[in-house]
Amino acid sequence: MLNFVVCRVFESAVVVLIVSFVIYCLIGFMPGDPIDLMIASNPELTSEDSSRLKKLYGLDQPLVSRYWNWAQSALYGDFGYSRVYAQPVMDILWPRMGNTVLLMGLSLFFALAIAIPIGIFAAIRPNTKTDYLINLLCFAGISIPPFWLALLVIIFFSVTLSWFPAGGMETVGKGDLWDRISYMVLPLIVLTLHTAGGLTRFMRANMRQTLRQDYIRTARAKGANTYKVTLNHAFRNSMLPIITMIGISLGGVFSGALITETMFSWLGVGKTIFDAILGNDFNLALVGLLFATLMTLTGSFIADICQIAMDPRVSFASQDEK
Amino acid sequence: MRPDQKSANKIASLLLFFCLMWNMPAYPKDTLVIGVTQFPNNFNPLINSMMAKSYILAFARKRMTLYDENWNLVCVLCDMLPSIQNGMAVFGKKSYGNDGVSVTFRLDKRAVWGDGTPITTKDVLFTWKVGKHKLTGVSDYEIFRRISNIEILDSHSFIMHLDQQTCDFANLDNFQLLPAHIEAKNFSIPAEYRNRSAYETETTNPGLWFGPYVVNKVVPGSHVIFEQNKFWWGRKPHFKRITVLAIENTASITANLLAGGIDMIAGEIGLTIDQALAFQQRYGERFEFLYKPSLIYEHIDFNFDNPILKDRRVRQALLYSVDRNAISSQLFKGHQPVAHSNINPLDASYNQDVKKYAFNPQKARKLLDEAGWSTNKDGLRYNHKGEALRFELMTTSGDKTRELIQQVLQSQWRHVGVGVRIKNQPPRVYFGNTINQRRFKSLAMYAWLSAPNSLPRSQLHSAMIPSKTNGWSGQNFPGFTDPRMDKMLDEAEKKCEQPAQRKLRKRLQQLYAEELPALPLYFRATSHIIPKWLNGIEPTGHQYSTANWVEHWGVKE
Amino acid sequence: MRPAKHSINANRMFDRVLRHKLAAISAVVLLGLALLSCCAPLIERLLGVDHTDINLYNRFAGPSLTHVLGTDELGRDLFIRLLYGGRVSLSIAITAAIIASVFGTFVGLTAGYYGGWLDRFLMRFNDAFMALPLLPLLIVLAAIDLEKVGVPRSIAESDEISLYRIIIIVSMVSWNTVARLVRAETLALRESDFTRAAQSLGASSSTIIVRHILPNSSSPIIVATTLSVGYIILFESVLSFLGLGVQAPLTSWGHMLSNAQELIWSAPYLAILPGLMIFITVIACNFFGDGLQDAMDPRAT
Repeated sequence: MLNFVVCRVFESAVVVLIVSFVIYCLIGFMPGDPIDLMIASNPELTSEDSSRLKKLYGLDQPLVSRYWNWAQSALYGDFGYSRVYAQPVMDILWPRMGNTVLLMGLSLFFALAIAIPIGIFAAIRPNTKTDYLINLLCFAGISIPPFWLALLVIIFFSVTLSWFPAGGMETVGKGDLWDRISYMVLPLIVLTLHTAGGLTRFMRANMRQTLRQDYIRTARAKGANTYKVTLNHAFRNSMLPIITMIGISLGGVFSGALITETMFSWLGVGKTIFDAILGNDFNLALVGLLFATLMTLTGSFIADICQIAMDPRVSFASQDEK
Repeated sequence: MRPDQKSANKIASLLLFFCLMWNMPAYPKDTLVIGVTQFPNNFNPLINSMMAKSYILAFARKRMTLYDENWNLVCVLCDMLPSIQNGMAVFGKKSYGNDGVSVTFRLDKRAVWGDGTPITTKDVLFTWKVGKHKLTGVSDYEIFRRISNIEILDSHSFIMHLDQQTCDFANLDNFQLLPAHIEAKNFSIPAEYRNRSAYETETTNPGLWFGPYVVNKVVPGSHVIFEQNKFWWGRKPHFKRITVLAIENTASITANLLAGGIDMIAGEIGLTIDQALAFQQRYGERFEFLYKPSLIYEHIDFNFDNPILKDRRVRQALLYSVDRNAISSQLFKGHQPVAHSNINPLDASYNQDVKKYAFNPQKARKLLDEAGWSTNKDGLRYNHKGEALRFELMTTSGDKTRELIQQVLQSQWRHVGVGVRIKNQPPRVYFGNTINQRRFKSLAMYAWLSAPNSLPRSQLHSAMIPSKTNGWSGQNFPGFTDPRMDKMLDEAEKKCEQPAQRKLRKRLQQLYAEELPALPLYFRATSHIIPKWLNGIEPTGHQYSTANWVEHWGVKE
Repeated sequence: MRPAKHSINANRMFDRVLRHKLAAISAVVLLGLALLSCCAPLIERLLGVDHTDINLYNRFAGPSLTHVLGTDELGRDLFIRLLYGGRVSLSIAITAAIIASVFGTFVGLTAGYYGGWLDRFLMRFNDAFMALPLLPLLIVLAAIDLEKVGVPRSIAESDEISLYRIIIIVSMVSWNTVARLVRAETLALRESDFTRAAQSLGASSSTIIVRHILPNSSSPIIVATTLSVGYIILFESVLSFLGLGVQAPLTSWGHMLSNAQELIWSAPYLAILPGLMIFITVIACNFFGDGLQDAMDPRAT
């Protein structure tokens, strides 16, 4: 096991290195650097001005050496300044990452709070009307285009009923706890509805599978209470797949909230990275994307470990064979 | 399962609480919340100019000079506008090069920074020092480049020597004053100034501001709160506090307006005209809608390297076959007037008597036949060599209005046998790569934003064609070359006296309409959505935002 | 030498799908939509309208005999545009899903069967692709001059080029799930008795993969493909929302929806209809995939 983990961490580190270089190049290859834009907007800039500015921003060096310089200082924790915001990259990213993690974390929490009981509920009553209804609702949740749902929610809850604000982080000049919560409700509804469907179905499927296992049947045959069996044995056994699933989707945390963040003007990291890329904020985009990469890799790592832990067919040995 | 009565009650009261909170009517009208669709990236007035920033900064800063609502240049921080007549501007002073201008400015004695420090020539000198430094990365470098020296007379007057003769010597709008008493220490390492400037590190320091308001709080990406400036020397503004709140998505900014989260949507960085019109259709009676055609000239550049487009008849035929009146009246309810040349009808030198191209598909077909595109096959024209009359029409992707117009053009050109393929790119690629390096194959739609009375020299002079050899500088993106145009532009730079200057500009418009270096579409309008109780907002039509006159805003009795 | 496990009686499978009533309805809905979209030009002729014909004097018209669902913001027939939008949405989704499945299956089979360093390499490759940021990729791809890369002029200059671009991008980011699924399945099948038997009889690796492992892992592949059709339709709508989708004169449901969201106050049905079409198609795909899974899973009773 330890061997596997060490190997896996090492491999992931190599992937991070390669991906960071690929991302660096990708952003570097994107046409339209800030100086080009500046020259286009200012007719009086001469070619000397443009080379002066390129030198100032370090854009005159070849991509590889720029990457090398950047990677060196990044290793020491210096990620540089955001070109657009004129502030250290991490000063911008931290609070926004906090906002995104808060939103995504809460929505995941609510989604699980919905998915686990309902999934179990459906699993112990397979092929009944309730089961079908739950299934239908789950699919509905998965199948709605996210920005369409956001639009409908805004129109209904904030314009027609005026229960919740339509977007933003807090009422200007207010910003107490209740106020902040009220701004979180609508984006949470959209995100939760979107994730809960998939999770519920997943929970139900796993639960069904576990309930068919021999030891559960034995426990029941021995006269154990159905609910007790379900909770004690089956529930515990279905948790690993859920964690796996969350692990795999971890990489989507930063990008997944982009639509919701845009629709509700939520100051999150998804929107920040998106704007940084479009606005050619090299450092900010790069660091943001790297964090997203790290999340993906960590998630996939967790998923792998869970998969191995729960599926005896995939043994550690098979990883090292041949 | 039995519903839990207690928690049901709790939820109900919670919902009630929210309802009450969001339906608070009649609030005191001494505060104003303005919705905008873009948040400024940074706050230093010299670095990175963008519309959102110039709108927001206008609440807390004044420019040296400004165009007023009648499109006349006026002094804001100085006490008298220099001119040749009043002797404050002198052409060709020998000691500073024989071609230059020397202009005397006197700062308003009442002007002080928001911490009470007087605004003096020290600040002027410091601003010049920052602006001209090669490592600062100033976006509007031109104003600093052309100043060859600043001569200080006393604490409030100075003479500015410009290295070349221009007619807009008195225009100092982009000479954005910086407070020397705060910023001098941050400029010790010029290359790092952009990150160390107090505008970024301590944005709420009142000493940085000198408008009717000072910045009180900034939540990056979300909002800026302005409070009244205790040291403001001009007319006292009505509102105690103004908040500018950024909400990017159109649907949610309008929803916020309806829900009362914001009072108004700024026209300068708010809704596009078609969005505003669609909103007005439904909620027209609840708000005031102000539309003002502005100096944003929407047009399509022809690429003159394309042999087909070199033929003037083809260019004219393309214009004849577009029903611009229908576009203006049907899509924009007439608020965006059809453009006949690059000069706005509100401009003093506007010429009415230029060649106009009313919608006339017959004439277009005839012109195309004459130009050799006479074979018609499957609705597409071919010439005798068998080449198809087909163009690539480019614009910025994600701009809904332009994409709408594109589809109209595509459909209307198809009716006269011209094929069009649409190819759109994100703005950064489009402006930073395709347009500026003239990589568009035939047609490119975008807009020019200009100042009143500005001479389109960089867009029309043949010396201003961007190329690899000149480092892609210049804005003559079509590659338009006409010696008559060059001559007129050169003359207009020198002849500042009024009848001569105006006459030249009128002839220039005639030539423009005759030769069509670009296909004029319309002048874009700003659309302000303001509450019925607010008055004093008067869109000017030029690039200076309404926020420059914030002290005139008030509440209707 | 045929493994007993993989052959599910086709008739029984059909029965099961039918038993899953919603899946059957979904299949009909999907077929109907596909058929309607395919026949769009024909219907266009019959109705005597043109999906690109703009009439500025007939915007936002209500339903009438000529315009069954009324007209859009440029006076074009909404009904026929929905059909053409469906054509684009469905062809992107189906093509991309198939490309992604084929590639994902190939990677999954190789990684799972050969194991060792090849497996590790392919799985980290998979990770790297999952981590690859889409947006800069899209922007770079949008800026490439296709003719210089060697794409024939007739394709590079056609209206459909934005369609191809999206199909490629979407395929690039959708193969991961299938690869992971197939790899897990292959890992298990590799250890099974019939594989061992085949190996001992001297069958080559490729024969074993093609004749034994692939057929046995076909059901998760088919199910995953069906589900990803729905997912890709959603994904395309998000790309359109970000302004990176197909370009006019082509239109897709996502494109129509994102264009209409600004008109939500004055002409809400312009946003609601394409949104509904996406919703219906995606939900039908999900139900159908679900039904298929039930029908093909030998473990389910």
